[in-house]
Amino acid sequence: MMLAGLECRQKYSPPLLQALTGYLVVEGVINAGQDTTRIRLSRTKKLDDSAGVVPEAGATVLVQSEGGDRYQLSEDSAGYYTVPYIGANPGQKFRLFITTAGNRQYASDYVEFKKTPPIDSISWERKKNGVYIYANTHDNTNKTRYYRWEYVETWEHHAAFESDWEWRREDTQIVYRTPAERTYKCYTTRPSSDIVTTSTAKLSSDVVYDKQIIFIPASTERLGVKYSVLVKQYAITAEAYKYWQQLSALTEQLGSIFSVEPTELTGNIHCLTDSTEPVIGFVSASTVEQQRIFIDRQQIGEWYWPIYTGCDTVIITDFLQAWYEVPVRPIYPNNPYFSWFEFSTESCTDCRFQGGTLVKPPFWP
Amino acid sequence: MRHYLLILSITVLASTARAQTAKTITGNFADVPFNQFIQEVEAQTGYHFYYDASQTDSLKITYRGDRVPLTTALDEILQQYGLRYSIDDQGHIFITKAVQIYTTLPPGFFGTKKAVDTTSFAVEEPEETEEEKAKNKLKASLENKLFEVGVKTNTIGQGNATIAGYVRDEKTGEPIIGANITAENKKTGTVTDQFGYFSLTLPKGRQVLLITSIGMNDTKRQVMLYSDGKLNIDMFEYVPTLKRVIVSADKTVNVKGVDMGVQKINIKNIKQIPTAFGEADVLRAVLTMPGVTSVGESSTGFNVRGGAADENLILFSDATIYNPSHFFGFFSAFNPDVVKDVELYKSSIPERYGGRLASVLDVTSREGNKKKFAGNGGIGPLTSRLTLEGPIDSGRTSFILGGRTTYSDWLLKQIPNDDYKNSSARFYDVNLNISHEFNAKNNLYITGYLSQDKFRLNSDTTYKYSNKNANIKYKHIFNNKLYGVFTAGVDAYNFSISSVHNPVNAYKFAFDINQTNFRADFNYSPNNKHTIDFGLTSILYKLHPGTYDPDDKQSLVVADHVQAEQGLESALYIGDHYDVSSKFSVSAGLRYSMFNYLGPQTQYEYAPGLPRETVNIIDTVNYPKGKVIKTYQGPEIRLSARYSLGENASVKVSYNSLRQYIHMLSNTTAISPTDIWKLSDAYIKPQLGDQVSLGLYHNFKSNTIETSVEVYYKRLENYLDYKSGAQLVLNHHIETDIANSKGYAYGAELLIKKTAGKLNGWVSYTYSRTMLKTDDPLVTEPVNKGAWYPSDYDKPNIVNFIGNYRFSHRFSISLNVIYSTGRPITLPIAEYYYGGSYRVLYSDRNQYRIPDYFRTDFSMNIEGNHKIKQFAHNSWTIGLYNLTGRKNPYSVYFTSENGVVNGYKLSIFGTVIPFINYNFRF
Repeated sequence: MMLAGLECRQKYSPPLLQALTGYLVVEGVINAGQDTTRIRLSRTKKLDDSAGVVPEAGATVLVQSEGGDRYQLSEDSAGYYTVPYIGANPGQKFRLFITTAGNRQYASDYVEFKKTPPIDSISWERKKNGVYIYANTHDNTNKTRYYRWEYVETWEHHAAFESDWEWRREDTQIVYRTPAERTYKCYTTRPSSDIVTTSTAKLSSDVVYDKQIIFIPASTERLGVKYSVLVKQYAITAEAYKYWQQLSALTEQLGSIFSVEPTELTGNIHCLTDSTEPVIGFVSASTVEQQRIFIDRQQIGEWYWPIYTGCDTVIITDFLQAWYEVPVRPIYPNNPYFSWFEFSTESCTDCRFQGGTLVKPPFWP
Repeated sequence: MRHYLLILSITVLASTARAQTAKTITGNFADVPFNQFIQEVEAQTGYHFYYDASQTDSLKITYRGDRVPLTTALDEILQQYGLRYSIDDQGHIFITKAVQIYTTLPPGFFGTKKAVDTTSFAVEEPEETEEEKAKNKLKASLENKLFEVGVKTNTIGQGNATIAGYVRDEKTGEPIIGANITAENKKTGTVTDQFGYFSLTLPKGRQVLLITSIGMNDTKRQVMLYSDGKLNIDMFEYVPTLKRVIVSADKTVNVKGVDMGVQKINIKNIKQIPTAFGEADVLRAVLTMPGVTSVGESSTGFNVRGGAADENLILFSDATIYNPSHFFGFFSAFNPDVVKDVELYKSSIPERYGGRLASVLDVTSREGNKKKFAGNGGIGPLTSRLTLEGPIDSGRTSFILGGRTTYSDWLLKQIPNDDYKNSSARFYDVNLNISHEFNAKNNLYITGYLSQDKFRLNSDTTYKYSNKNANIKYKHIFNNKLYGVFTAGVDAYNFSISSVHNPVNAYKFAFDINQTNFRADFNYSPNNKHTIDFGLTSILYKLHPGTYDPDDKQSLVVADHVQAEQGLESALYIGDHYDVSSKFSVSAGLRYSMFNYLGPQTQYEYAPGLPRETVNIIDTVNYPKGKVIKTYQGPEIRLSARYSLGENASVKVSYNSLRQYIHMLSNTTAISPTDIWKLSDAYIKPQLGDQVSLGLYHNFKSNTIETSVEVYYKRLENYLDYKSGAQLVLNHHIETDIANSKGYAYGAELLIKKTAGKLNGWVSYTYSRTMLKTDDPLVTEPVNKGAWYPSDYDKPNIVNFIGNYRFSHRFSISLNVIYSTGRPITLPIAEYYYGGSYRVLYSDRNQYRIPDYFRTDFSMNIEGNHKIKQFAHNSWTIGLYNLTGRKNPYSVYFTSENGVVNGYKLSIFGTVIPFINYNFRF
């Protein structure tokens, strides 16, 4: 909501604050139905701390029902605690009970286990400035009202030149690549990092119509070849909705003139050992619904990607003098006496330079 | 006659030549009154001067010389004023001017000084036009005419009589507000009110009234006061003749008035202050005054002495303006061509005003030209404006109609970012004032104002807001000592947000506030020692705190209307301004205000002693229409006193208390156009504030330099703050999200102001602090654990320099230099990984500051020729805003982008902004 022509944004490094930190962060959804429940425990860290996420390992994590049932989660990797199956019915209330390795106890409020309605469709629309991906769902019983989505995007992307050959300098040979050695097609997978929620509380019926989940700006890499997204839908409570809204306002939407003032944010997890100790996170309980769609480059019209700058090939006859490393294709493929090749660089022939992996995901067509 | 004059001038030359060898003068005169200058020269030379005091008493002499021959000095000094002199053998010097000759002179025509019959020395100035001549003749004859006031009697009675009337602009017939009328040698005086009206009680008999006002030529009236009577005074606009003249009206209000913390700035000065888009801006000018801060550039609100932005009562011709800005705060809502002047009361708030804690900003609009049809306007890169004014019938009715609009879409289209391509932002405003004079005792004034903004930025959501104001004022003069003004009006403000992008969710959110006002104000001046103001005011509020409706046939949105609320705010007031002695004056006022929160209303009851949360609701009570749900009342005290320390200095002290019954709900740092207002109710108590202040005032150089120091301490109670994550919009029980706070503010303001001369402007330094604290036992998580914390607009050190230098009457330059401490911000203390991204954790509020603010603006004002007779007068304003291009941070913020936290410093004007504006007047 600002006149961007005049405004000016510069990077800012804050003064280093010597405040105490290292608070417990609890993230996850109690999936008390048939699926796996996975809870992640970590710690807050100082802003200038360049280490990754600080996992909280060695804790005892329990899911407790209001009726007294207990389900212990096991730590499958540092900070991740899972239980494969709880098997409860929606409507029951559950909470999380944590005892850390430091022997401090934490518990969440009891939260209602909600059944998530199925996704009606994941649709998309090409507009001038890019592609919008929407979720559509509804609940005939009008009970869900608050929704949250997560998603995992995967896209295929290519190197500038496809090379079927490899120059082996040590035995001065150009050899044909096996399919496993090809570096032309890559797949990058990325989970969502933004908060997507909506509420139908103000609507006469519980219908989510074309809720924007993802926006892919025009002519960017994700839709350069082929794109897929797996959208996960969660039903949440009104309190959880409020928490996610605030978290989004405080951590994603600051910076406009009319942004809210930063405040403290309180979730639904409390430290039982010391009630003044802040704990970060909001635990919900629900089933999950998911749906995957694919979008092909051909379906979306004009899309100026890839743009490979600085990639070219040169014809090289004396391979020992080659200053480019990768043979792309022979000039006279049918003439064994003239073994001239177009050469290019590794970064122009190996898609992994743009990120991703050569392994084709199992769901990829 | 001609022949005689020619001979005379030869004689003069000859005698001048002879005297040259004799005397010299030495001295450094700066704005010295003419007679004082002459006394000094007489003392140094032994010559005797003969001159007509009425021609010279408004002159101020500035001259520096060391043993300069007298004739050289006189040549240089007198020439500027079109005066001539001659020296005779006896050491007499005669100073004369091209004046009309009067054969019969009224008694007392000459000053007390040795005067000479000017008839024998009158010299006609060849370049004087017929019109000027006529005007000078008129002016001179008015000043020398003896006005007989009251019922003429043969003998003059004992005691006092009251003289009353209007001071008007001779050219346009518009009233002159704030003109000083003083009785010569009597040390009593008065100031004209908003209608140009004055009332002054004086001893009967012969009196000389001096009338001075900024921008007008000083004038005087010879009065023979027999009994109570009427005197209207026309003043002539100060049209600079193309010679160097220093005007120094007797601007002693700051020293002699009782009021403290009052800053007045007229539109001429406002127009000299460079602004970002070149159009004169009332609110920008207010922000340059000491004691006024804001959270940042282009923010709508301003903060006066530690008060929140909603604690300012903004009046435009007595209409309450709820949103005083356009276009995100880049423009103020006041068309500069319609504004006459602006007065900000930040300490002594007159008892006739109330309802806000921190200040009253009184924007006075002009009345139309009563004598001829005229117009003016301006063209700028983003806005244009046009104002027309003139008489409707024979000088008794006049109108002024002003309009302004923007065509700023082109600017948005220039922004390279695609998101702004579909944006638009528009506004307009219209003013209409009509004044009508039934007769000398009855006047009617009608004011109308309409403004509207509409913008759509970077999204499919459309925002609109609008001010609508109308009022009618009737002024009746009962007698010379008593008059009353009766005002009735309606003020409305509304905004809406609508989105039709998604048909299923298409909605329109609307808010509005409507108030109907009535007030009666009386002014009674029983004698020259007392001026009594009294009256009553009443405001009936009706607010629609939020309506949420479907905005498309397919929309599934269910209408959600927060119940309308009503309230009645009434007050009675009385105040007496009492001149105890010529040195000591007191102004004491009492305002008793009452607020009734009225039904129909549904109110939740909460379990006593428990936090006000929805889980603690124990009952719902329905109140019928008109039922008084809650009443708040209390006295407000307005006291100030002045003690003179000699002619040019005074010390003042004041105490003020105020109550506020309507509050703005906002949890954004800056005021946003979508902030809603809320009346006090059973849970939201009125905000209370009181302030004590002390000031020292000293004027130098014939009042052309004003200096002052003011210190204040202020307390605030029931200040509104919000619980973390408060929902302010469409909340049916807003009391659950509010946390009452209290606060205190203190500060010192230093001001040096130069009001005349080639260089004018002011330098101010303010030291101030504003601290807040959550003070609500029902809040479980107080801000900063209940400790004191600085408010968002707490900027301890502020230095403002506002200067204008006039090279000539057609060319001047202006320079602003603004420095302030950066405002407080809340910085994150840690980061954590959540929801697929690193995010920041905030803790204690406002414990750090953004970098300091510094800005310099420059502008040049170029005027076309000053011929009085031409179709249109033109002027150009060209300048650079933020001359140094400093990227002043508006805010520092942290946001999670693609999984990582990035810190940014946001500047609103991160570069030099050139501007140009063309103004015309016809």
